[in-house]
Amino acid sequence: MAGRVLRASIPIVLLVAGAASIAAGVKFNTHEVLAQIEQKQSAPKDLPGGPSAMWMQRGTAGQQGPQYIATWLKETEPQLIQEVTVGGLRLAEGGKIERTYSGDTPSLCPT
Amino acid sequence: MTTSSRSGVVARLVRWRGWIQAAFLLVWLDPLLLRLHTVCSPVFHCYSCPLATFACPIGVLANFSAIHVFPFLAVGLLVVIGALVGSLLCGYACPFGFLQDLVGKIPTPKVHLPGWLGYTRYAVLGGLVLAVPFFWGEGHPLFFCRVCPAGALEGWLPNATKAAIDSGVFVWANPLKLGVLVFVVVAMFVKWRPWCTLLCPLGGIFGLFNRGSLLVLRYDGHACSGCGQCSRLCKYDVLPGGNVNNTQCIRCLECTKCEAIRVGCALGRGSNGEQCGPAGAIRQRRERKGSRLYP
Ligand code: SF4
Ligand code: SF4
Ligand code: SF4
Repeated sequence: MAGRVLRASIPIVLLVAGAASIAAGVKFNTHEVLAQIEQKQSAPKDLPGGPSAMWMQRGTAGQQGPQYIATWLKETEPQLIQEVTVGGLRLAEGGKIERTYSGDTPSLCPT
Repeated sequence: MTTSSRSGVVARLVRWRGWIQAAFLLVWLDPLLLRLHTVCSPVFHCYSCPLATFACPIGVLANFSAIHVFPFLAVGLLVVIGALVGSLLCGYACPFGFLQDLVGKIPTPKVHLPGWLGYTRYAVLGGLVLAVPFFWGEGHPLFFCRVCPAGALEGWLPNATKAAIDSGVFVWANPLKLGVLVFVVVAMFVKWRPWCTLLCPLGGIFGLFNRGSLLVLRYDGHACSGCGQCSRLCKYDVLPGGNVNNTQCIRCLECTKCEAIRVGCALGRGSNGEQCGPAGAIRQRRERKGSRLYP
């Protein structure tokens, strides 16, 4: 009898745990991702935390090209899943997550 | 041999298994071009495939391990599916399993390997899917997606072919990935579902739930005459008479053609099939020993 109750309770407990994990993934599992976001206007002279370090100019000096600003984005777990399907995330120095691309999302995972 | 008196639903499921697998293929191959890659599927289908509706759960586990984030969604989905039906989706829904079944139908002699070799799936899961990405990142040559045969077949091959048509340059996959693909494809001709039974980390995960899922297989030692029919019905090297809710079982349900094995619900009465009647497993093992090759 006790064995049967135990056997019947295992899948129920697993179902509840699985559903709770899904809910946690959708609701709470948010992470900061360092992304290079294309910026339309020119770089401002002063940005808090080191202006020149925050800005990247594509191409050689003096050339006009898209400008990118390093930005921390909050991404939910579904967004992280979408990013990894194109090989779009890696672990940077210091344990931070960063995008492997700047500008448009790649269409394919490089592996 | 015992005659079959299975419930009509299970009998029909088994009879229509190939068609059910084909119908599921349509779900995974993104016929509506939805590309819902924010959601994992519960099957082994590469998200690099130009026709992939959902994200591959193993690719997600490996990549999340590489960025040190716990994949609550992917784990939750696998736990829910596992708790409901164990590895039933391997038998009825997974496209890579279906492909192996189709190739396996080519009438070449098939070898049987010991069931314990299925534990290598956990080495692949722990090593290539979790540990290598966690400690060395996604750039490591043994990162699972870099050696995955489904990725090679469904991702690299169509994309490299399309790129070759567009640009005239064919880009080869890395030699290890190609080697694994060739090995698995060749193995499909000489063993039923070699990837599933020996190496698939997702099948390994689902297999862990077979004993604790709502859907269970029940083995009735008293109805078993020890004829070994269930072992012959099982093409995947599980000994159903020994432990029908084995981690190696892909739940094709073929063995339920013997009336000693039935589909049941964990909430209902009856054993989960851990025990075996005296005439069962021992005699089956003896019989299996004498026939390593199936026609
Ligand atoms: S390469 Fe393999 S593990 Fe990676 S996403 Fe594709 S099918 Fe999944
Ligand atoms: S073992 Fe893996 S490849 Fe085989 S059917 Fe299951 S998930 Fe698919
Ligand atoms: S034990 Fe039965 S259900 Fe499992 S793989 Fe073998 S025949 Fe299929």
